[in-house]
Amino acid sequence: MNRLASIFFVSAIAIATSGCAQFNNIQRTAADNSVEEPQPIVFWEEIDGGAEGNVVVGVDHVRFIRPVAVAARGNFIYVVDAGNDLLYRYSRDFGKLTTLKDLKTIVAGEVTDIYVDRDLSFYITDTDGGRVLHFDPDGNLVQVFEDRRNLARPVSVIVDEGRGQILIADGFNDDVMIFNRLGVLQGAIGARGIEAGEFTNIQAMAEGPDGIYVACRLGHRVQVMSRDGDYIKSFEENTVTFPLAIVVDRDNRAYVADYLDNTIKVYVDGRLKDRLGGSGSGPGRFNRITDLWLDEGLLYVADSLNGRIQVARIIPPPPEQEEVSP
Amino acid sequence: MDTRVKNRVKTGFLPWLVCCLLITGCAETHSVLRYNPTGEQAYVWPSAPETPRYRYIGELTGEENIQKDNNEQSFGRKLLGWLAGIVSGKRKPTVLQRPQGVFVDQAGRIYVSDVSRSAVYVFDEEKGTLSVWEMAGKNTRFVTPVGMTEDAAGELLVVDAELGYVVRLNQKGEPVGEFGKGKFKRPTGIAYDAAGGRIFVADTHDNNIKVFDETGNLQETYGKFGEGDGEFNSPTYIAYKNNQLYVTDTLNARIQIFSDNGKFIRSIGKRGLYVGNLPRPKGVAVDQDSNIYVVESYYDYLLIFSNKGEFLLPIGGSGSGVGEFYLPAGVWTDQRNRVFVADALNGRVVIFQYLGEA
Repeated sequence: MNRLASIFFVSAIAIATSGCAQFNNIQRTAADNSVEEPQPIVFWEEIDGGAEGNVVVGVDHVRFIRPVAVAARGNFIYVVDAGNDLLYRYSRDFGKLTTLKDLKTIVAGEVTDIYVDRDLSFYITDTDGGRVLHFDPDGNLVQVFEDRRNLARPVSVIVDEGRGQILIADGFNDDVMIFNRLGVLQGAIGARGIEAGEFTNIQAMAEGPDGIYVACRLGHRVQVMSRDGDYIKSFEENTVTFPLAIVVDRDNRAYVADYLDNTIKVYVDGRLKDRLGGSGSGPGRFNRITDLWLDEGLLYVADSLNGRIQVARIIPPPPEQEEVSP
Repeated sequence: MDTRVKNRVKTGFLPWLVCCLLITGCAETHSVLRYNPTGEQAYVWPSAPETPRYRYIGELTGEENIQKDNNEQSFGRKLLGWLAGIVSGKRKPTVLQRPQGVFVDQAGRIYVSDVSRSAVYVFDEEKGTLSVWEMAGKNTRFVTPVGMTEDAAGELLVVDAELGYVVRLNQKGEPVGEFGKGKFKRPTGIAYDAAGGRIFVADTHDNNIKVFDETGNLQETYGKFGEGDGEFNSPTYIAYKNNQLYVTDTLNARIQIFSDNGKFIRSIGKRGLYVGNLPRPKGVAVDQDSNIYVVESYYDYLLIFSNKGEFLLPIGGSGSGVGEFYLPAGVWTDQRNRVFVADALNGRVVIFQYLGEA
């Protein structure tokens, strides 16, 4: 009996000390890292599908086939899977996947972008059908934004609720259409061309603190326009070849996904600052990024041909050193 | 022959015994409805040094609010729990999943419509019970119940957006009729004018307000699609108080107020990103001092306006703590000056006490 007790006691001490040692290790590495130049993003989560079904029909782990568009609000992640033409909602709380929409029945071709609003209503681009559809949180159609003459190929949509405007980038006419809440076209930002403030083959659009960011396949790759349609600036030339997705964080850092070399390029003030990722299937590696989304300090990457969504944490930039006056 | 009879007696006796025990057990238990079972401290709005106008009472989440007077469980209950444990594993408690609308009737019963559970939850303060009503007809279940009100006969009227009509339920929750079948595109909010004997229903996808008499015949229609005065873009929740009709014109970012005969009086709110703006208004209610309560679901606030439209006070912010909301929807004020807010994604109904103007 005594022997048993002593074994138990010794093993308890051993476990306790090893636990402490581990804890110390973690703390030390964290301290070491803080000294180094901080990375702008750190990959920490990978979502390749989720549990679908219920007790009655059986629960199955469903994997994404080709997730091409992603959006998230809090613990709800919305994924457009072009592999089986479904729109999923993934709940991070339970790892549960819900099929929200069968896209075959409602859109003409592929959906290239999804925008989820703060009230969990969502917008999808019916790219070949030339319209944008607005659904309530349960997936009931609320509104259709279309204009037969002026909107041909919507590739990206963002919502400016302060002004009650829906901005839709048209990849065919190469401009950004502005619709009001009634679904009426009110105006446009930009036009086709290669000059400053003009676009050639728009691929993606995002909103940032200082304006609307538009990414193009040709010409000026990334340009920033004011919400009133004035040209503000262009990004550094010859740094990105095929920008297919863009997001901008609150510190005005822009993340541009380059479809060609499977990287995410980070720009500060329009200058290339960092280049992350590369081809591959490991963590932080990509095979054809088709969409990006930012929510609550997390960057969501639609890593389409790897069949997964990768999630990265965005590290805020270090505070600028204030000069101490003598 | 004898043994077979004996066996039948034996096998027949056990269920009877269980039933008897259960009945005696049920008869003995007394339960009460507690609004604050977890004992949260008293929060007030606005905080000191301002004069407090609203006090936090508690929240309704489901079964947790129903507590036994005496903690002693009856033998019957214990046996049932034991048997149920063997049969179905861990029992799932009845909880609100995604409450959308709230309504309190004359008797003080609190009705909560839940669009995820597809049912109406009834919290009875007097009896200390919680029941779940899920039938909208003899063979029909509720799908998306949203707005609720009570008519002169004491029947509960429930709007089901997906079924597309209004269901009448009696005091026991049994469906006794319906009206408006085929007349709606997507009905959501409902309000009752006791003096005029009229029922107003907001048809969100048809962008108008439909007015019915007490028997359910369509009398007239207010408004059409647009953003001018008296026009709507997805009207959702409505309220009727002091001979005025209040309509949440959700996608036009405003509350419109109409006179008794449907004439536009004024509108409250505008688009914007500041607290007090109404980018996505949902529930609307009016208290006894004619203050207007608007649930703003875009930034998760309960906004309180004076009847003239002056912005008085916000309660909220995104989150799950006390005084925070996550996609709130309906709101209701009862005769005891309590304000109920359906906090949809937090799965609860939050209750505040209005402390009056003094």
